[in-house]
Amino acid sequence: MRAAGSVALIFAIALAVNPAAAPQTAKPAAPPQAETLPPLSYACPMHPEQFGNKGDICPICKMDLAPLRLDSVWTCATRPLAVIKDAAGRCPIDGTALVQVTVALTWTCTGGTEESASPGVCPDGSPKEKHTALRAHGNHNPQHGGLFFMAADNTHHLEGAYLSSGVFRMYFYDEFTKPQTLANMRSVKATVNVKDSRTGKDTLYSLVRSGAYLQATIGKRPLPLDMYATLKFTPDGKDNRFDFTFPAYSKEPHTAPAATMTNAAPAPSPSAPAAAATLIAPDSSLGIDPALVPLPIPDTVPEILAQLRARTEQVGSLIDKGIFAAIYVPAFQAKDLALALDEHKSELSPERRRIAEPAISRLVRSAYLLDAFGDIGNKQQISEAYAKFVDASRDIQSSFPQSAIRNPQ
Amino acid sequence: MTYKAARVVIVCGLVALAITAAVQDGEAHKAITSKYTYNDDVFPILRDRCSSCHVPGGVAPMSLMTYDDAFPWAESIRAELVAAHMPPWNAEDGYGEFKHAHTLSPKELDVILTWATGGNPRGALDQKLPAVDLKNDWTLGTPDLALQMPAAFTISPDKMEDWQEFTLPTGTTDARWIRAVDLLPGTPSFVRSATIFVKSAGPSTGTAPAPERVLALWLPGQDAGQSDGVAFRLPAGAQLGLRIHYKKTWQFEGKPLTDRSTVGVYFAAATSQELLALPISSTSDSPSAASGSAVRTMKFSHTLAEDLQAVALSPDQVPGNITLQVDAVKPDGSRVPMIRINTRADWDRRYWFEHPLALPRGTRVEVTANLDDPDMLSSAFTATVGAAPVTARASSMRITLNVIPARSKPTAP
Repeated sequence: MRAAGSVALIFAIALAVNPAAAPQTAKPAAPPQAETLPPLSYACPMHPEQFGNKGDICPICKMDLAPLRLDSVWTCATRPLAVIKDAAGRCPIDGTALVQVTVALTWTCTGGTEESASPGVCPDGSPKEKHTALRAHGNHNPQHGGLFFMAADNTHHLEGAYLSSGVFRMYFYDEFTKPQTLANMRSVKATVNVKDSRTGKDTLYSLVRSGAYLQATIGKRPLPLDMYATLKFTPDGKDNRFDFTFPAYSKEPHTAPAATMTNAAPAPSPSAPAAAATLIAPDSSLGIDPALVPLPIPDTVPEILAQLRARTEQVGSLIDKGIFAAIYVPAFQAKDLALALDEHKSELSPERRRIAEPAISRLVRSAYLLDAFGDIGNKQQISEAYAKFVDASRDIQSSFPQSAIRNPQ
Repeated sequence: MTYKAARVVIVCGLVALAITAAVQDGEAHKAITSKYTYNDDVFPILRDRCSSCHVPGGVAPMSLMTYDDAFPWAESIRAELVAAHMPPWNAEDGYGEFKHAHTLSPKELDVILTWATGGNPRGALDQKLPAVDLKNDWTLGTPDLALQMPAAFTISPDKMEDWQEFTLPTGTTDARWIRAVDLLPGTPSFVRSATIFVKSAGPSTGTAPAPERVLALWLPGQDAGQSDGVAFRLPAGAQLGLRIHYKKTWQFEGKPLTDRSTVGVYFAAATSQELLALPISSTSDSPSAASGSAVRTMKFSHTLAEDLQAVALSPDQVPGNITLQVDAVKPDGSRVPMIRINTRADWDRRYWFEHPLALPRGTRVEVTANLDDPDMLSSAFTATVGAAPVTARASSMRITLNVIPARSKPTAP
């Protein structure tokens, strides 16, 4: 099984996928599910990223896979599962915006130890108690207002924060987003390469231990600030690269309740019900990146092509700005535009169609590739995926009649 | 700005939408983002496109024909589709044109990917889907000559895979033309691939086109390849060689399995044009100029000494997980894209061109191998510690171009 480790991650991502399609159709996409229970999965009790069928064993430790149900809930960023909500909102404890995490649901009887993956009735006639537990990779939200990445080994997680004091700080977590003690991270060797946006000069700093994190004093630089950290988790391990772009100083969530979040919130789509709009971000009038604003798919080929071109550029500009976790938004918009063009391919000559259809397939694939790479934060991988994306987008542009394009830019 | 958080907030409008809608309906609260369900959208595609292998008793390690079968594999399905590994057709779409291409349409691709990454919704619980059974039949109809393995082969319980070669006497009294050769597995669940060839005709070496002896590179679930008007020559009384790669899936670990497969031979018209093989290897007349330790591409080529038409192409000695591009550079300098393959071990096949490509004398057939793993998704998530560099395995490569003379002259066998 490829990329098996990101199985759990995908449940977290799953909820984030395809935001564009929903407001455009403005109706519930899937037919109503008959039961409110999330679907049953089978995963290893020791290696939660190992999924399989009922009756399978874990390929790593050979334990029987156990049934469980995964759900997505909203909780306080710094106090996971202290509060569990069905929808976005504010943490009643510290007022910060709730974050979405993936959890496992189990049910037990009072006093019993046997966990069940479904509700039911206990021998004494009382209903089973529901338990909610954090899943590995269920929470990829930064805890210190910084940028959160997962290493490609699917185990190490880290957050980089650039403080207004000019300090770059790196926090480490396990796959449950529990902070790692530095004793556990003794073998980590890390440097950070900072690019000064005025002089273009690179400076390399070694990160040193301080309290529960690694840090380096890099000084107050002009913002936005680009840097990349290079880490070895073990002395003979391979280098892991993480690219950070800080548009502003990182602020601890409780000192700046969710200010950065509302900045990025999209304007509610015109077709979205008003109720939904008030639920997201009441103060979403702040500067919004147009890349994150969903738009309806136009009716005519030239308009679709123009929007596709704009979306392709927006992905590139988000990559340049280091806003990796958001690139899936314009990438999936572009994908939906390409699929809309697919329905117009019968208007093309056979020769052009032979270019168009594979190019649309390639764009669909590379959009999902960008979605996956956006989460692990390696700029080179993202850029390579983007190169494929641009290639496909260009082939689509060239296979549909150019003369019909309005507003060439 | 906290991007992960940004993402969450971006989504939250939509989740809110879904929740609002759900609340109005008094229905589910689980936020599923896929508008496609298994029952209504995914199953029909899997049934039509994947059921020759991903079916109970099929050669694939898992069936995808019920929701319970398919749902746990959603993440694998995403990885395989994004890498274009499945369905197994390694030629890149849009580079060259081929018969029997086995790919998904962009819409089908998106439906499955959306479902695989968007919560894997099932659809209506009371909806009954038809059971899908393994089809194990001749795709080209009853063969003119059916040659069963002389004896059954049983794989030992402790082996997961094995390679076996069998000899099948044809018993023909005259030379015949063959238009296609197919294989009907006796036990489809572990017959992974096969090569069928004419035995005892001395191996063709050198760089001149010689009669093609490899009759079929068989893969499960694929149409038996054939091209109009061209044929393989079967000498009178010839024997066929059948080399089978047996591979058990994890369900059969520790168990014996027995197979007795049958080769199907389809004869062609009394007069046909013989298919020739032209090997092009990295040690032939234009060896790779690449040197140094950080070699990421290798180039080799062969210049045609006569006017030919290219009919098919197969990579026959190439490492897996590289990109192999073949172009024809004609004497006038024009470049004709022939094929671009993302190679994978165990998935070699013969690619038949949609139309024969005319290659005048002096045409340079140029092979460019890019040794970077084309599967970006898996390579990003797989630790590469200790992996042998591809360069070490790529020192000698060979592809076979199947050709016929520029002026086809059908003859008797």
